[in-house]
Amino acid sequence: MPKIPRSIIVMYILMIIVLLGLCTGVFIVLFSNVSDDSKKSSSTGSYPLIDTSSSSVSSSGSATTTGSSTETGSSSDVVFTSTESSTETSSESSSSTDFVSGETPSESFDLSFFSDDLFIGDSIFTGLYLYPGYLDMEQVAAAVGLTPYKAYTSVIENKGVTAVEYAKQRQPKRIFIMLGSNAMAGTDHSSLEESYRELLSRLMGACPNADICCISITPTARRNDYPNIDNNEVRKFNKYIKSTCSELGLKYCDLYSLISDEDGYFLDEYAEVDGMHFKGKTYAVLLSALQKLM
Amino acid sequence: MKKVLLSVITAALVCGLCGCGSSTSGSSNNSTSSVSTSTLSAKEKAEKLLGAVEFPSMVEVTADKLDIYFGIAENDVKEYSVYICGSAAMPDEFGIFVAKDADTAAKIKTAVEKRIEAQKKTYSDYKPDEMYKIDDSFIDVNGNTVCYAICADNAKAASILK
Repeated sequence: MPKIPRSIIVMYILMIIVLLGLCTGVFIVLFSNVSDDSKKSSSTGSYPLIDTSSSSVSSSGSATTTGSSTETGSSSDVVFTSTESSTETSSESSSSTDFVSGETPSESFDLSFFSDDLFIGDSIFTGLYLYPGYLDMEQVAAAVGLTPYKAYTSVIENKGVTAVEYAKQRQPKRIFIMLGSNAMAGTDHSSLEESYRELLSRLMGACPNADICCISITPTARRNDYPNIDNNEVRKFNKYIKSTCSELGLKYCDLYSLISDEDGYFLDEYAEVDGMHFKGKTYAVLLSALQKLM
Repeated sequence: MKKVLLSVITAALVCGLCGCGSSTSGSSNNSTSSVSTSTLSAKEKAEKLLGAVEFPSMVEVTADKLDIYFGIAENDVKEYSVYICGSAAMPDEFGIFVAKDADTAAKIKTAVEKRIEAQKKTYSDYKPDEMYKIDDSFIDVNGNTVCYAICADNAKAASILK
C-alpha cells in the first residue's frame, strides 16, 4: 500500500473541517428560521391593547361592575344571570329570542328576507358588507367607532348623514341595531343607557312603520385585545337593552348567548383574532337568528 | 511531481467546495425571489403575501367594489388583486393593480393614497396601537403597476408585491 503524503492528509482533514463548518452553518440558519416562525405564530392575535374609541357618549367616569356574576345557562331566555338583584324577569321575553346554551347555531338564512331592512351598528356591522355573501352597503348604516350617541349625532362617511337620518330616508321594513361596545369602556352605564334609549326613541319617531329589533352586544373572547371591556358589564348592559325593548314593545335578539361558551366568552370559532370582531360565518349565525326571530 | 499535483487538486477541491457552498445558498435565494416576484401574476403575489405575513380575516375585493373602496373603475385595470380586513378589526389591507396606462396608474396611486389617509383617520382614534402598520405602509409605482400594503410586516409585503 503506497504511503500517502502528509500534506494530502492535512488537506483532507481541512476539507472535512470545512464540510463540518458548512453543515453547522446550514443547521444554524434552518434552526433560526424555525425559531422565528414559532415566535411569529405564538404572537398570533396578540395585538396591542386598545382603548376603544371612547366616544362622546359620555364625558368621563369609569364603568365599574360591582356585581360578580354566576354564568348559569338556562334553557330559555337570557342565559347569563347576574347575581345582582335585578328587576328583570324572564316574563318580559315575549319578543325576545329563545336560544338554548350549547346548541349549535344555525347558519342558514335567506338573504332576500332582509332586502328591505336596515342594519345600524359599529365596526362589527361593517363586516356585513365587507365580507362577501351578505348585505349591500346600502343596507348597512355602520361605522368604525359608532356609539348609540353618534348614531344620531355623527355623519357616517359613506352615507353623508347620520344613521337616524339615513333610516328616515330609507324607511326600511325592519331596523336591526347592535351598538354599545364602543362605549362600554371608560363610560358610565347611565350615560350609555340614556343615549341608547334616545336612539330608539328617535328611530321610532323617524320610522314609525318599521319593526325595530335590538341585538345584544357580543362578548370578548378569552384572549382578546380589549382589557377594558368586561363581559360582566356587557351582560349588564344587555339586560338593560332587553328590558328597554320589552318596555317599548320592540324585539330583542340575544346573540350573546348564541356565540359564547359556558363561561360567557366569545367562542373562538366565531371570533376574529382580536377577540371581539366577527369572523365571516358569524354573520351567517346572526342573520339566521334574526330571520328566525322576525 | 505526483505529490505536487495531488496537493493542487485537493486544494482546488477544498476551495471550490467553500466557494460553491457559500455562493449557492445566497444566489439561489436571490434568484428564487427575483424570479418568483417578477413572473407571478397579481393574484399569485397576493396569495403569496397572505401566506407569508400574519393577517386577520382578509377578504378579496371584488370588481364591483373597486369603485366603492377606491373610486377605480373595473376597466381602468388590466389585472388586480386587493384584500381588506373583512371584520374591520384592523387596518390590514394590500393590493396590486396593473393599470391600462401610465395616466391611470397615477390616478390609482392617488386613490390608494386617499384610501390610506382614510384608514389613518379611522384607526388613529379607534386603535392607536395598530397605527404602526399604517405609518409604515408603502405605495410603489413601477411602470403601470401600483402596489401598496398596510400590514404587520410591510417590508416583506414590499418584497413580494413589488
